Amino acid sequence: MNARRKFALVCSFLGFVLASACLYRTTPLSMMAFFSGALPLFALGIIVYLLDLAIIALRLRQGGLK
Amino acid sequence: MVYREIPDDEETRNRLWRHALLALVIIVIPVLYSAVTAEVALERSKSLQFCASCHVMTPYVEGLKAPDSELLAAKHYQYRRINHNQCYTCHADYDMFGPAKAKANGLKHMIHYYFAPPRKIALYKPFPNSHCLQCHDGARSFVKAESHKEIIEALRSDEMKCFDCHGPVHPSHVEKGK
Repeated sequence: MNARRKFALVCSFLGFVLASACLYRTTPLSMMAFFSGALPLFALGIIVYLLDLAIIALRLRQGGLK
Repeated sequence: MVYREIPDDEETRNRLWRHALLALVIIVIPVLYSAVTAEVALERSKSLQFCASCHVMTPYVEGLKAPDSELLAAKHYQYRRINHNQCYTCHADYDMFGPAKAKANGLKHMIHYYFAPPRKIALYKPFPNSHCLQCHDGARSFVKAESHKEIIEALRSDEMKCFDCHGPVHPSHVEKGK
């Protein structure tokens, strides 16, 4: 697994932790952590993973031309 | 121009399954989990307990629970005229975007609470009668009351405030911002 995918997985994992804390006990602090922490982490993980897929697609396209 | 065919061997299939699993874990599940968490958290943030968890709200909540209090908010709470989400029921607007605005303001309040707590808190705008009338208007006790007969249209149009006769709502030392 390359570094980008590992980074995306780590972001998702941290986002899950913060979101779970908010789901378990909804307090102003846990809500702040969810909206300002978990959501940006999820978004970052998705962006990095999509970037990784785009790089793979570009490589396939370049490597596939005859 | 011919593209290389994707080989149909076990390694490629495993690679595709791994990508499918990664997409599930990184994209699909986080999106669904975020949606559920946001909905549950915003729903729970309507509760009195949630409002009371910020210390700036303590005087208001104490006023609500003070025994034998004649304050309007206390009577609504203690006689369970509003069964739950008492703060939210009175303070959220009832127009199309009222609940969304209330939730957005709530998030803003949280940011202020942690980063720039205000010395004095105040309503964004004068309290509209519509927040009272969304429950009371149409009720027999409201429509048939002698004292309301001449002023009912003024109450509905907000020319006259419900609190002019039925206030105060919260403890006076809090309302004056002391």
